[in-house]
Amino acid sequence: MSTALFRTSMKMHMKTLLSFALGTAAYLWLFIWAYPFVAQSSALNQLLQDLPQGLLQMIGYQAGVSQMNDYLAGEFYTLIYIVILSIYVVTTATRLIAHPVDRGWMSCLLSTPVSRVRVALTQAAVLVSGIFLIAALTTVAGILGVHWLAPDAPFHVWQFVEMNAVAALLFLAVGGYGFALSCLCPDERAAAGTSAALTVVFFATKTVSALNDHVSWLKYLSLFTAFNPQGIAHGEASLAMVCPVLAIISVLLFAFGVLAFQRRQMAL
Amino acid sequence: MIHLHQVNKRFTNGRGVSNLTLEVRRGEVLGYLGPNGAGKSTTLRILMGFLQPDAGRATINGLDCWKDAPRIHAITGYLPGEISFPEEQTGLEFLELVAGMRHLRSTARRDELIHRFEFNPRIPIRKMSKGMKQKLAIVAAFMHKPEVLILDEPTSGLDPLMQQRFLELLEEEQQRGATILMSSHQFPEVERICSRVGILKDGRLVALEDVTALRKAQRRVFTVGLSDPREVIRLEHEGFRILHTRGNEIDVEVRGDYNTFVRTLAHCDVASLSTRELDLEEVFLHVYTDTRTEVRS
Repeated sequence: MSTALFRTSMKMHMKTLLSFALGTAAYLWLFIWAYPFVAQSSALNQLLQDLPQGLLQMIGYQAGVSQMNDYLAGEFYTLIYIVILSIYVVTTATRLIAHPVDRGWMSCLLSTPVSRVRVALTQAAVLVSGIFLIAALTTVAGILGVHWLAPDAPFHVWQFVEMNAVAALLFLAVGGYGFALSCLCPDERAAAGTSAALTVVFFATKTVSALNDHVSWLKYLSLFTAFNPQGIAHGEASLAMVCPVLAIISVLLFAFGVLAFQRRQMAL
Repeated sequence: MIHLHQVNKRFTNGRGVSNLTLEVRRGEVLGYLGPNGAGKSTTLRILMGFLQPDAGRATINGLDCWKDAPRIHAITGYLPGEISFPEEQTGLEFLELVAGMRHLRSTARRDELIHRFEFNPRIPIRKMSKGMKQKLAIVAAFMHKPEVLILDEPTSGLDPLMQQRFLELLEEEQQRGATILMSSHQFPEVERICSRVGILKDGRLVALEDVTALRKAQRRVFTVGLSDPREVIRLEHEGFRILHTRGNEIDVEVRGDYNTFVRTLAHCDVASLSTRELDLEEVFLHVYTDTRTEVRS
C-alpha cells in the first residue's frame, strides 16, 4: 500500500462513488416511500397469488409483500441494486488499473520506488473501500428511510443488514474479476467489455435458471446465485457457507490480478 | 552504472531490440540516437522495468532492472517519450502525489524547477498545452535529485528557449555527478551535452562513438550555385563527392573538412550557397549503410 496513492485515488473516485451512493439511496427511498401504498393494495397481493410460481420466482415475489424486507428484497435487491452496483464496480475496476496503463500515466506511478504489487494492492484497496462504503451508506439510508417514510411497516433491521452485507461480498467478488481483467487485458476497452459481458452473462443465467426446473441447473454457473435476497429475508439462506465462499473467491481473484499486474509487459 | 548485456526483446510486430550491449559509465551522459521505431524507447522501458527482456541482462547500479525495479526507481528519474497524466488533477496535486510516493518532504527543488521552467502548476492538467505537460514531467523526473536519469526525447514539445534551459539543467545535473541516458533523434542537442553517442537501427546498435569522432564523420550536404559549371572540377579535385547536378546547381557532400571546402569555394564564382537540415539517417549515412562499421563498447 502507498498512503499517498490511496489518498489521491480515493479523492479521484470520490465523486463517482458519492453519486452512485446518492443515486442508490434515492432509489431505495422511493421504494420505501411507495411501500405503504403497495402493502395496502390487496389487489396487487391478489394478482401476485394468481401468477405462476415460476414467474414469481423470476421477478422475486414468492411470498407476496407482507413485510418490508420481502418487498425490498424483491423490488430493489434482485434487480436495481445489482445493476447499479455492477456498473459502479466494473467501471471503477477498469479506471483503477486498465485506464492509467492504456493512457500511459501508469508510468508516473511505476517510476517511483513503490513496487507494482503495492500499486496494484493500493488500487484494489480503493475499489474494496468504494464497495464497502456504498454498501454501508445504502444500509444506513435504508434503515433511516424506513424509520422516516414507513415507520409502521414490519421491518427486521438485522435481516436488512445481512442482505446488504452479502450483497457487498457478492460485489467484492464481481470487483475481483473486474480487477483481475483490468490487470490482464491489453487495453481499457477490452477490460471494461470483458468484465461487463461476464457480469451480464452471470445475471442472465441466474434469471433464466429461475424460469423452469429444466434449466435450474444454470444457477450453478452464476456467481449471482450466491446472493439470494428473498432467502435472507425469510432467514433461509445458508450465510455461514455463502459468506466465506464469496470472501475466498474475492481474495483469490484480487491476488490473481495483482500477480498478473506484477508480470505484465507495459509499453509506458 | 547502466549496463545492458546481450539484451533481446521482440514484439509480435517484429520490432524490438536484439543482442543489445551498452554501458553508461557513472557520471557519463550518453546520447541514444536512432530514427522512430529503431528501439530507443524499448531500451529505456527495459531499463525502467516496464518490459522484461526475452534474453540478456539489464542492470542499473548492479541491480536487476526487472526484479529490483523499485530500488532502482528510488535513485532514478524517468521522462517518458509519451507524456500522460491523470487529467482530473492539477499539476501541483500530481507533483504532490509523486513526492508522496517517493516520501519526499522538501519542496525546495520542486519549486526551483517550476520557477526555472516558468509554468503555473495550479491549473488542471487537462487544460495544459503539450509544452506545459512536458515541463511538468521534467519537474516530476528531476525533483528528487536522482543519480540516474533516463530521458526519452526530453526536449520534444519545448520551445527553443525552454530547450536551452533544459540543456542547461542537464549540464548542471552532469556536474552534480548524475549518470544520464538520453534518447533523441536530433544530433545537435546530443552533440552539445553528450560525451558518447550510441546509434540504433532496427533494434541493433550500429555505432557507439565519441561525439568528437561523430562530429568529424557527420555529413552535411551543401547546395552550391556556380556561375561556371565547369568549376565543379575544383571540388571534385579536392575529393568532395558531388551527389547531384541540376544545371548550375550542385549538391556537395562535406564531412568535417569545412576549411578545405570553404577554401576551394573561395576560388570559384559562387552564385548561391545553402544547406538544409538533414534527418538522422542522412546525417549518419555511413553508419546506416556501411555494415563494416565496428561497434566499440
